[in-house]
Amino acid sequence: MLGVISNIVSIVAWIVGILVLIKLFKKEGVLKGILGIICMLYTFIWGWMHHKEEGITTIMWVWTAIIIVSMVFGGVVASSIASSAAGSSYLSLFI
Amino acid sequence: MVKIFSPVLAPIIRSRWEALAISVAAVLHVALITVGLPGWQCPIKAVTGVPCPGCFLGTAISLLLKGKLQQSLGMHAFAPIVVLGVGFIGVASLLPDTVRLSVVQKTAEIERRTGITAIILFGLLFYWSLRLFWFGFG
Repeated sequence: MLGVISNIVSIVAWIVGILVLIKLFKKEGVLKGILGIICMLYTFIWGWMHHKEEGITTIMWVWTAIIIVSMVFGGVVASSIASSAAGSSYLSLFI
Repeated sequence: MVKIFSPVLAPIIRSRWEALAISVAAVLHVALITVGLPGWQCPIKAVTGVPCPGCFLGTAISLLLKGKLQQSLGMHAFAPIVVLGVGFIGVASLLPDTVRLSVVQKTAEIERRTGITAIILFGLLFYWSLRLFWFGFG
């Protein structure tokens, strides 16, 4: 079940990322588009910098929500693995 | 030719907030990876299973900053170049407006004359395709 949800979330993230990437290519040209492919993090930042003029605010909110969910879920999994393996204390600084 | 050599770095550092956001995001991503927490998850790799040209850069930079140069280059050969690029963007974002705009102009001129950014970006794509079809990743 979690695997299915994870796959759906990944696909949605990919779709919104590609939509923003297309906007990036159209607005900024080939080189910045290539930079966006190389680093989707740049595409994400560019999307937020230009969301109003490009009319992609909703898309950016969806993408941001997916990222936060992925990071929280990934962090919970990572911390449970680490604490069950070694009871590492440094993780308590972040949780 | 003019379009291929169009500036990429200069427009980024022209906007202080964009430059600051990029450098902070990059530092945060590398910091998260360094402490073993999940950083930015590549949507391309998540869906297709194929690493994008920028995959493994965060880990490579983390290794580079720990002094493990050989391991870093083995993970991703462009790590040092990206560190320089992001460092340049970060420093430029903190400069006073007059100085930053002067740096923007000089950067744009260098990028137009030499095509250095285009060379690096296309080089990165070529490197990625070599790894994809011949040498593997990681």
